[in-house]
Order: sequence, then C-alpha cells, then structure tokens
Amino acid sequence: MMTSPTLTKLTKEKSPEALRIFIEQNKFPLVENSIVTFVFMGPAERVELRHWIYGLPSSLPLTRFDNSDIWYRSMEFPSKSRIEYKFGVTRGDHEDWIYDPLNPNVARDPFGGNSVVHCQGYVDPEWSYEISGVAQGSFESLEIDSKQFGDRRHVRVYVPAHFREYRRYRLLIVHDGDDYVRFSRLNHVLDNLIERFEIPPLIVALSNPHDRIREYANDPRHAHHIVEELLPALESKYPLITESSGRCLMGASFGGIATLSTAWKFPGVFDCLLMQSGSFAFTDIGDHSRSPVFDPVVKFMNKFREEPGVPAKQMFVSCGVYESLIYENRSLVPFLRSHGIDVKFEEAYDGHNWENWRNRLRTGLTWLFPGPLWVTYM
Amino acid sequence: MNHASHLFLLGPQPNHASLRAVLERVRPHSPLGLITAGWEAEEAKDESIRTAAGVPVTNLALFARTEKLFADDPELIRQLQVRQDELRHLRDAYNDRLHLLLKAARLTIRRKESLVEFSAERESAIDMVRQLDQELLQRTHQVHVAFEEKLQIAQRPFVRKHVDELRQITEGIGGLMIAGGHVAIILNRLQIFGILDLLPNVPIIAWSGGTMALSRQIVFFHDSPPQGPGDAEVLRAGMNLLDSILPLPDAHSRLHLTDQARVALFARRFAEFRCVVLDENIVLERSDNAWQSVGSEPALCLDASGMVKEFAS
Repeated sequence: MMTSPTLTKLTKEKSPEALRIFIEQNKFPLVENSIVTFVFMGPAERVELRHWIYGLPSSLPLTRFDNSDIWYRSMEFPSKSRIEYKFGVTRGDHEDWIYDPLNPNVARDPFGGNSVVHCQGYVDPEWSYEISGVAQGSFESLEIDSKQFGDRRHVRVYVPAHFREYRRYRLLIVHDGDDYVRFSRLNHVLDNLIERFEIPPLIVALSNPHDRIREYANDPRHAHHIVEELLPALESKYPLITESSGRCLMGASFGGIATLSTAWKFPGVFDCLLMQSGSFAFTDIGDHSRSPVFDPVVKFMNKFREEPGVPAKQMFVSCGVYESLIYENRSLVPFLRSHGIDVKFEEAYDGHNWENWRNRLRTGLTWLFPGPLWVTYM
Repeated sequence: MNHASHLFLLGPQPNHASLRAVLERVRPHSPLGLITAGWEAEEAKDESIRTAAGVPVTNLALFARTEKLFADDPELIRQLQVRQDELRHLRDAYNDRLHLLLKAARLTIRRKESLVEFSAERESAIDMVRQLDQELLQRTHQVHVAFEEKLQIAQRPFVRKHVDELRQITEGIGGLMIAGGHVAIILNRLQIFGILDLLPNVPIIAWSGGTMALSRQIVFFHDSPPQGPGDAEVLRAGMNLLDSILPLPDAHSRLHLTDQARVALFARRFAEFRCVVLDENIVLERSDNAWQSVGSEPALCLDASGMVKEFAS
C-alpha cells in the first residue's frame, strides 16, 4: 500500500500524541507530491474512503493507528486530480457517510455534496468565482405554456451586463440550467469570461426538467419543446442572432443526451453543442449492463450511431477520467469527427460532478463562442 | 482632406508612461480631444488619461453619442444589423478558407527536403492567403459602399445634429488622443461622425487598438487565444492614415515572436506593410512624412526571415 513519507516517519515514533499534534497543525488530506493521505479522527470500528473513481473499489478501508482513534490511508493520484469523497464511518452495526471533518473544502451537488481534495498541480479556476468589480449579468423570468408537456415551464434567462436592445446576441440554452448556476457558478463563469472578452456577451436560457430521467432520455416532447416552444419564445423576447451559427445547446450527463438527441432530431437549428460527461451508453451487441433508466438512452445512441447525420457543426465534449462514461465519450469523438463534425474533446482527472463540468466551461465556451478578445486591444 | 501629418503610435498604456512622454514632446497649448469609444460602456472612465495629459481634455463620448443616435434613428440600427449579418457571413466563409490556406502555408514553410528547394511553393502558398485577404477586403468594401449609398449616413438628420455638436466641442482642440479597445467600434464611430474631417491637421496620438483603426487595413492577431491557436485575420479597410505601417499592439503578449515560422509567415503575408511591434514602451512618430522610433524602447518589425528586427526609419 502507498504510504506518505511524513506519516511513515510519524507512525514509526508510535506516538499517537505526536501524530495528533501533526494532524492539528496541518491541512488534510495531506498532499505530498502525488501522494494524498486521508485522515479521520474519532471513535469508530471501521472507517472507509467512499469515492466515485471508476476503476477503484468504491470503498477503501482506512488503517487504525496503534489502537488509537486515528485512521489514515495514503493513495497515489495522477497530477491535477480532483477527488470527491466521503468517509464511511461504522459504529456498531451502522455506517454513516460523512464529510471529512478535517477538510473544509466541500463541493455541493443536488444530492448534498462531498468533501474534495485538490491534488498536486490542480488549479482552482479563478474565473469561476464572483470577482469584485466584474460587471454582473442579471436574471429574468420567462414562462412558457408547453403544449408538448401540457404544463407551464419556468425558464430563467441570464442577460449579460451592459445589455443593449439594439445589439444582437448569441444564445446558449442550458439543460439543468439552475443546477449549473447553483453548483457550477455558471453565472460567475459567464460574467468573468465576458469581462475578459473571452466570450461575447450571451443570452443564456436556463432550462429545467420536471421529470429529468424521462424527459432528457430522448423524449421527443423535449426536443419539440426546446426547438418549437422555448427557442421562438426567446427569439421573440430578446434580440438574438436568428441563425444556427448563433445558437448553442448544452448539457451534462443525461443533459448531454438531451442535447445530442434534440440536435439530432432538428439538425441545422444549433451549430454548436457543448456536452459534458454525456451519458452516451451504447451497445454493439446484446443488452447493456447499466440501470434500466438507460434503456431509452442506449436505444437512442444505437440509433444515432447507425444514422448520425450532422446534428451540429461544432461539438465540445468533455468527460472525467474517473467516470465510467469516459470510454463512451472517448469513443464518440472519432465517430463524430469521421462524420465531418468539428469536435474539441477535453478530459480531466475528475469525476461525474458539477465542479468538473464547471472547470471545463472556459475551454468549451471560448472555443464555441470566441469572444472579442480577438478584436480588442486595450 | 489633409489628415494628421503629425502622428504618434503607441502600444498599450496601462500606466500612460509613453503617453506622458509623447505629451512632453508635443507640449500642447490647447485642449486635447479624447476618444475612448473602444471601451464601450466604460467610455467615461477616463480619469487616468486626463491626469496623464496635464491639459484640459474633452472626451468626445462617441460611444454614448452613438447610443443616443441608435435610439433616435431606429432605421439606422436596423440597417446596420443587416450589414452586420452580411459581413458576418462573409467572415465565416473567409475564416473557413483562411484556416485551410494558412495550414497549407505553414506546412509548406516548414517543409525541408534535401533534394528540392520549395521557395516557389512557399511563395505560392502565401500568395493564396494574400489573395483571400484581398478578396475579403474587396467584398467588405462593396458592402460598406452599398450601405453608404443606401443610407447616406452623413446626411441623416440625427447624425448631422451630432456632427454639429461635435464640431462645436472640438473647436480649438489642439490634438486628438485615441485610446485602445474594441477596434471595430473605434473605427465605426470615427466613420459615422467623420471625426478626422472635423479635426484636420491636428496631431494624433493613438495607442493600441486606436492605432489599428487608423491603419490601411485592420489585421487581428493572437497566436494563443483561449480558444486555441489563432490565425491572424483581416477585418476590413481602416482609416488609412499610417502609410505602410501595420501596427501590432501588445505583440509580445499576443504573438509567438520567437517562432520563426509563424513570424515569417505573418511578415510575408503582409509584405506590403512594415509590421511594427507596438509594446508598452514603443512609440512611432510620423513627422514630415517620415517615421521614426522615439519611445524608451526601440520599435521592432517582423521580418520575412522570421526574425524580429529593429525598425529602420
């Protein structure tokens, strides 16, 4: 098992007190070059590292130090890795999954969140934070009575700072839009990239599903809703470039499927797609081994692979190396390229989570919508 | 109209050091006009320039003026949007072709076989890029001429009203400063209001994007923008005040000046120009129809050999 050089030295001293003082005086998890050491202090019968790194056992036990209440485990990670985890702490016959008490760094997601460790070389993107002095876009509301779904859809619309009615804007439609704002700080990403002239000022529609697993898995109502209900409503309210070259559709995970399947059903409507950790599961023969919610996804992907057409001209695809979906995403890239689609692919040592998606936004958005940096010489 | 025989071209001015040095040299006795339209909504935040100038400064507020104009003359903005669409389509087609032609030119420049000299092939590959640039310039010129014929910008009542106001506020102005920013916006505002016709023969001090708007043709460049390696692009004709100078503001940040193949391709593609690196401390002055480097650092030029050489007067 991989061991931390510092911990090895300390454990040799066989002094829990010395180790405790070291723990109190240092940040944990301890990052020493490629080695990360996780430490838990507290009463427990068993402590496990619970993580979402595909390829490793999902639960890795920590070692108790010398019958004390200190538990530790060192692991080696590739440079620039970003790891989300919890501790599974067993007391009696009950296991609790808890945040790492020694680590204040937590990534939030729709299910709560996870502790996070940034490995050596990882750079926390400063462009994803609210920065003082950067002009902020605002949010407006749009209500759509959807004939497709038979209900009313509420869409928030990000309007960039210094909006001018006489200008015409490019449009980005975001699946799971509110989650992108909550968990990926999409609004701050947009504010900062616009401020730096790296992307043009955009109108961004934040679309949200009512029944995500169903609607995003190639539900034909969804594609019709986006193209025939949402898009016209946006174009009638905002001064948008009403050509496919000014439109981008985006989503993550099942939102990636919603993105691809919508563009596939309506080729020529969106020139650009941004798909992150898309759930692009497919089969070459036989049944798939994922959960039943993937049934319509696999059916769609198999159909798409038979008849891809050209859903869009440019596609940005990203995926975490620590996701099971990395293989499907990697295999999709040459397939798309072989059908004449201009594809940019970025993978990162990260998992299926909102901060991974956030961290890839700059590359994706600047590639799909290069900003006026090109024409601006201060 | 005899425009600005006395000209200063500067690089980016984060601390206004070169600007101050130029003003020391010019010693203006009357107020200076200022254009910061390239900063768009931030146009009015010009305090640091006023402080550096040391003489009264009148900001012509061309960006704000255009906002009012667009509000007053909605037909003008509608027609501008149509023109914008036409130009965007031309640009998209140009960029598709440019990307491939430049790729071919780069491959040809880097090709080194022992038995064959490829200079003819290199020249031909670069010439195809030049032809494409010229095509775009011609096509954009046609769009602008047709637009002008149709709209008669200078005769539109609201434009005339602003030009009259500008004529009044620029009376007695002894020099014009043009700051950097969004080059297309600077150029557009200079043209809508005919600013250089209102201020003939006053010295002009332009920096960064302001210099580009004054050149014969506007060339955008950035070897490493965030979206990936960039190809220098021609935009359209500029105000044509700079003879054969093609200003390259902030070139040390934007261009890989040590990449000889890239530098050579750039210099040879724009061989009709002297491609001048305009960094923070570089100043070019034109006086008596001659250009000379007068900044605290010598001006530099891209050379067809792929080297960056000192600017020769």
